[in-house]
Amino acid sequence: MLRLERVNVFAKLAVAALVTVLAWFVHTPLVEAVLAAAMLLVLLDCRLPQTRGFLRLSLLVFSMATASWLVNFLLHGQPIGAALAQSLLLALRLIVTTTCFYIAVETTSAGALLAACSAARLPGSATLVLLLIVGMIPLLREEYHRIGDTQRIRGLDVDRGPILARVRHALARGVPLLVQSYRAAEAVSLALSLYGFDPRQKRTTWREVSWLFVQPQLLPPPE
Amino acid sequence: MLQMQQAGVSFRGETPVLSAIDLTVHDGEVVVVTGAAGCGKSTLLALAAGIIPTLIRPRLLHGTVLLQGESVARIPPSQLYRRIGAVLQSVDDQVLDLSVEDLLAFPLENRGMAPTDIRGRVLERAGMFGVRSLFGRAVRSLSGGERRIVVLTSSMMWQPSLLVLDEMTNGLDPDARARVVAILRRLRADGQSMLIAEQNLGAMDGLADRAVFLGGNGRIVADLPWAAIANDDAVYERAGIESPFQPPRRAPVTRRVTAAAPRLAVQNLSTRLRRSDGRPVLPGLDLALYGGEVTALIGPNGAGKSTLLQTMLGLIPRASGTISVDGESADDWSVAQRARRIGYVTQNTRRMFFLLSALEEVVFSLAGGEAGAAVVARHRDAAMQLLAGVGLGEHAALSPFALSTREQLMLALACMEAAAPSLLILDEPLVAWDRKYRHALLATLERFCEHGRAVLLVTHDLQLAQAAAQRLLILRDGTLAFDGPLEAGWQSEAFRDLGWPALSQAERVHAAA
Repeated sequence: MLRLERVNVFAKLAVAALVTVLAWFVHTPLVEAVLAAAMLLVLLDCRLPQTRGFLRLSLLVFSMATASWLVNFLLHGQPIGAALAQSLLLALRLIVTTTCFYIAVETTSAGALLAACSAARLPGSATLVLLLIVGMIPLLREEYHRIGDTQRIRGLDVDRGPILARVRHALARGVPLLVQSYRAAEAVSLALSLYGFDPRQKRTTWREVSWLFVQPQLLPPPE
Repeated sequence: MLQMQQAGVSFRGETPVLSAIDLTVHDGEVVVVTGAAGCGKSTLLALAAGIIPTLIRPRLLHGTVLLQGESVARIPPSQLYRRIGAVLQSVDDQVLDLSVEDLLAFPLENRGMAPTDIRGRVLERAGMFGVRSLFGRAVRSLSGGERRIVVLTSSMMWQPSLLVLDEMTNGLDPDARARVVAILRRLRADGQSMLIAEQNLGAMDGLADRAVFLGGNGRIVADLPWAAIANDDAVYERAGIESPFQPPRRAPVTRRVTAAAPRLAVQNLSTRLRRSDGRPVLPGLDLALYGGEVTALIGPNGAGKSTLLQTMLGLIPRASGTISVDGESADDWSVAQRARRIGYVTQNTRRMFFLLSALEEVVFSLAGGEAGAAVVARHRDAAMQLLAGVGLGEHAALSPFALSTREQLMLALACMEAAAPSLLILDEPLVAWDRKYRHALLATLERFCEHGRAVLLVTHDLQLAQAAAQRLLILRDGTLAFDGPLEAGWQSEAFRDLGWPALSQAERVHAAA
C-alpha cells in the first residue's frame, strides 16, 4: 500500500495545485528542471504500474512542446539562446503540472475518492462526475491495451510498419474502444442505479476521513 | 412474491422479444429461466427486476409486473433495489473499479447509513459469504468465481426479497461453479426467493424448484417442476438447448488428417513470471499439437493456462525454450506474424471487430488484412459460405456490434476459418448449452480437423470437451499432469486431483459413450 494512497485526494489535489503555482512563478529553466526532476522522482518512488507509459508520453510531449515553442519564438525574432531557454522553461512547466496531477489521481482509488467526496459533503452530481472520470479512466486504459493485444493476435501490426498502415490500423483500435466506452458508460450508469446511487441522496462512507487522511482498508492486512 | 401477467417487450420494430409471459415466483421459491441464445432470458430478468422500464425504456411494453403486489414500474429505483438484488450477466459491469469492501459498502453508503453500521454490516455479510479474505483487493483483480460471489454479496446487503441472477455460473470452472451454487443453496435454505437465468440446468440441480423454458419466439414453452425436467427431452428440443441430463454426441475418436510432424511444438517453455511463492508459472513445458485433432486443455485457476497461451501467442516473452509452427521456428516472430499461423479466439470477441458488417470482417480475414468495396466484391461468395457455415448467413449485413455475444463468437470462428491458420486456439468459448451454436461450433472444429489443422480448446466446460476433443491435457502448476486420450483423462489421477464436482457427470457421460 502506497503512503500516498492514504492521503485524502483533495489534499493531494491542493498540493498539486500549489506545485503548479510554484512552477509558474519560476522563471529560470534550471530551477524548473529541478522541480520537474523532483516530481518525476516522486512518481518513480510511487512505483505505479503505468509509470513507464507516462514517462514515454511525457518525453514525447516535452520534445514536441519544446520544438513548437522554439519555432514560434524564433519566428517572432527572439535570439536562439533566449528562445531555447524560454521553450525549455514552458515545456518543463508542462511536465511539472501534468506529473503532480497525475500522481494525485493515480494514487487515488475510486473508493477513496468516493469517501473523500462523501466526507466533504460534495453534491451527488459532482461525486458522480468524479467517480465516472476516476472509475472510467482505468477501465478504458485497460481496454485500450487489451484491444491492441487482440488486434495483434488477429495479425495486425498496430504499433509497427509504415505510418499509413498504422493510421489504418488505428481504426482497429479506435472503433472497438469507442464501442466499449459507450457500452461501459451505459453499464456503469445501470450499475449505479442497481446499487441505489441517487445524486439527490446524501451519501455516507465506511471510511474514517480527515482532511489529510483516508482510512485505506476495513481490516488491517494479514501479517 | 413476483407476478408477471401477460408481459411483453419490443425494442426494435414490431417483433417482440418477449410475448405473453405469465410467470409467478412464490415466497422462498427458486425459478430458473432457460432457453437458447437470444430467446429473451436476460430481457425477462430485466423486466422482473424493473430494469425495464425503469432504467431501460423499450419501444413497447405490455402486461404487468408486480413485486409483492406492487407494480415494479412505480417503485423508485433506490427503493426498488433494496427489495430486489440483481447480478447481471456481464458481472464486470457491476464492479466499478472498487475494492471488495468498497463494493460491499456501496449500496449502504448510497442510502446514507451510519458509518459504524456500514462497517458492522459489511463485516457480517462478508463473513457469511466467505469473502473477508478478499478485503483490500480490487474486485477486478479477482477470479471469475470470486468476482461473482462479491457482487452477489453486495446485492444482498439490504436483504432483498427477490434475487435476480443472470447466468451466474456461465464460464466458471467446476470448482468455482460449485462454490457459487453452494452459496445459492444456502440462501434457498434461508427462504430467499430467486429468479435465475441459466442454460446449464445441470448446475441448478438441488437448487431450483421449477424451470421455465423460453422458445425462440419469446414465449414460455414449458413451466415444469424440477423433478420433471430430467426426462422430458422434447422440451429441450423446443427451447433449443442441450439437456445436461443426457450424454452428448461423442466426437469421432480417430484422427482424420494426422501429420507425422506436429503443427505446433513447444519445448522446455518457461517465462519470467513467477508465482507468489517464487516458483515460475511455467517451469519448462513440452507440448505438441497435431493436425486433425482437437485437444482440450483444462486446469484449475492459476494453473498457468493463460500464461501458456500468451507465451505461445508472443504476448509474454519466453525465458527459455522454443516454439515452432509446422517445423519452422517461431521464436523470433512478432505477435502479428505468429497470428498468421496461430489463430486465437479470445473470450471477449467484441474487442476484435472494427468493420461495418459481419461480411466485411470475414472478407478482411480472407484477404489477409485488406478491406474496401473491391475486396469485398472479390471475396463475397467465399465469405458468405463461411458465415453460413457458422449459422450467420442471414446476419452478413449486420454490424458485428449488433450481434449477440454468442453470434460474435461464431463470427470470430468464421474469421479464423477464413484466415486458415495451422493451429486454432479457442479460449473458453461460451456457447454454454445452446443447441444451435454448440452444433455450429462442433461442425467448425470438424472442418478445421478435416483440413489437417490442429485445434486447442481451452475450457472449463467438460461436456464441451467431451463432445469436441479426442485428447486431453490437464495443466497443474505449469506442468502437464496428464496428456493423453480423453477417456483415459477423465479416469486419471490428475483429473481426480482437481477435485472438480463435475467429475461424476463426466464419468457418467464417459460410461454412456
